[in-house]
Amino acid sequence: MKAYRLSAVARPDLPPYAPHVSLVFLLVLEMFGLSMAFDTQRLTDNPSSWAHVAGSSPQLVRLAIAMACVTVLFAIARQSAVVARLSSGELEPIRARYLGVHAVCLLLFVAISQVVVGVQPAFVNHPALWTLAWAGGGVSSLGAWALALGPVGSWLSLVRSQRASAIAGVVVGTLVWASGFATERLWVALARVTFAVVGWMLHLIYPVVRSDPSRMLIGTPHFAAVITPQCSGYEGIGLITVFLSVYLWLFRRELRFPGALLLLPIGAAVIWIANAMRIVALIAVGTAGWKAIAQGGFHSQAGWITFNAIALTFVALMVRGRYFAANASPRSRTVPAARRHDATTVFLAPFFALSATAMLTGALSSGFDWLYPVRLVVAAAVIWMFKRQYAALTWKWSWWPLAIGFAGFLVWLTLLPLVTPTPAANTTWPIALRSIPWYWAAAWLLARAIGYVVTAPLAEELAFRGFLARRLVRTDFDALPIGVFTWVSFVASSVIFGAFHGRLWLPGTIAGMLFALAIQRRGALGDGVQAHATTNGLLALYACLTGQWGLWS
Amino acid sequence: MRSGQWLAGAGVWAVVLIAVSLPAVLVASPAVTAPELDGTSLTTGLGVLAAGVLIFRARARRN
Repeated sequence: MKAYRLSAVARPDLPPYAPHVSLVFLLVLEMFGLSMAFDTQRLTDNPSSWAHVAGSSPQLVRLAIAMACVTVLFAIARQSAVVARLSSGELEPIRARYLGVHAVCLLLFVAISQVVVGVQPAFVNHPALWTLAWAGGGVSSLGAWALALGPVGSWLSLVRSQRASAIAGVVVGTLVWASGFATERLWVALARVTFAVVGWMLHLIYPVVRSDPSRMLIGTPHFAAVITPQCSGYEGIGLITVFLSVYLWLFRRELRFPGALLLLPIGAAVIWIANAMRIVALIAVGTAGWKAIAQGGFHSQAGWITFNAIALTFVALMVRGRYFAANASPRSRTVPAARRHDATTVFLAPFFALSATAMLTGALSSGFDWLYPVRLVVAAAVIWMFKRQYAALTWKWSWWPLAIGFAGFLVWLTLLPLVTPTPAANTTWPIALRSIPWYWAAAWLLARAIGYVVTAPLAEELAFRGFLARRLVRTDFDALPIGVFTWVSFVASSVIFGAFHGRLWLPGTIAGMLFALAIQRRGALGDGVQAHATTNGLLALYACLTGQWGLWS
Repeated sequence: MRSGQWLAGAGVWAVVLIAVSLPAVLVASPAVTAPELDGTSLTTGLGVLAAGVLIFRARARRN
């Protein structure tokens, strides 16, 4: 097996605390995945007091996060010794055996969560036992993670040395957490302002506007929407504030302050107005006769499209705008052919094009993506643009990636019933395809098959194994060979790949690991594409033969 | 008022805005959740954003 040793690779820009930060990142990802997979809302509807205890646990997690964040901020602000230790690399080495314990405890916690959060009969019969087991699983998992970072003694000495920051973290963190309850009322207040602005905008377009402030209902005589608190625009303001804050901090040396700070209130105002326009557009789509699209894909995707468009525009302003960028240089009109395409664009452009088009076509659909062929055309066009760069990668046929692809197919087939109770329940495809002439249905299926077996594997392998797995090792990732292996990049790139598969994150993560292994043998990205295409092709074939469309869609 | 002083004032207000809005938005944990915050839409949205930022910055550096 061809294996690249990390020691043989120069790592001038990898900070000494990178493994420790990666572990924190892993914990954040796990918490994110758990919060997505399990909704504790059902527990609060259960009469058992133990169910209420379990149902209130997310508040404890939020309190702990607030305390931890404030403690870290105070430690950084005080320029404490621990920050200096982090920078200098005087840290305990990661203890891998506790990571294994953490993984086992996490799986146990997930298994117990399914019983508790699902309010299954076992939990209803013995709520105290299951709640305590659930808490034990969570605490054990977190404890093992902490022990992987350092022994108990180190943690105790850390707390002793950071007593002032810890006390400040507890006090201020609690205040921040408690202030959240007070600000919940702001969501309703902002929704009323949004309601008024949407009404004003609608009056500019339609002669008759239907409005019921008591129910927060607004629209036209043909289509109306209820402005609930989550439509107030608060989430958009939060997302853009977080995004811009992180960007301003990460690239503070490239920006001109305090001018760049103006982007924060501007961003909040712009995204709030854009949210009102989104609601107006939704009402317009529904009024035009496309009610299913307005209630379906448009309602779901328009928010993300708006946020991404605004966020990327702000990035353009920060990179190019002379007012915000510290060293903005006038754009060169003539770029040498050899420098026209950078490696990041080469590896990420197909994935970006595919995902962005999926968002757009998804916004114009109502459950069934009739416009899927557009994704295929856009992705194929972008791949064609960079065909010379891709041709330079290794593309040799081999049995090895086919075998790994077959293993990926078996993993998917085995795990799917575990993560979704009715994997074959998708009846959207047969119903939609039977509603059109057979040749159109065949053409759509053909486009879907080519997209699933050719363009998607190519775009995803370029992004996750070609770019991300190497970028996690080194900033100038193109200096590393394809297939370079470190445990952190292997696990992190696979977990992120899995996260892109939504509720199927577990088979997605394992499949990502298998595709990475396929590439590692010969250092050939083509092997990953072959393995990925094999898995997808077999899943599509299996779905066609058995009618279990849920496996493919 | 000189533009520098005005900017400094705006900067202070920007920091105040962050201080006020971040706890409200991030820690408020309202009972409501927007429909777009399901797993797949969230990862796709963040994926497009991350890829877009990386591509944009890489191209800006190259040019």
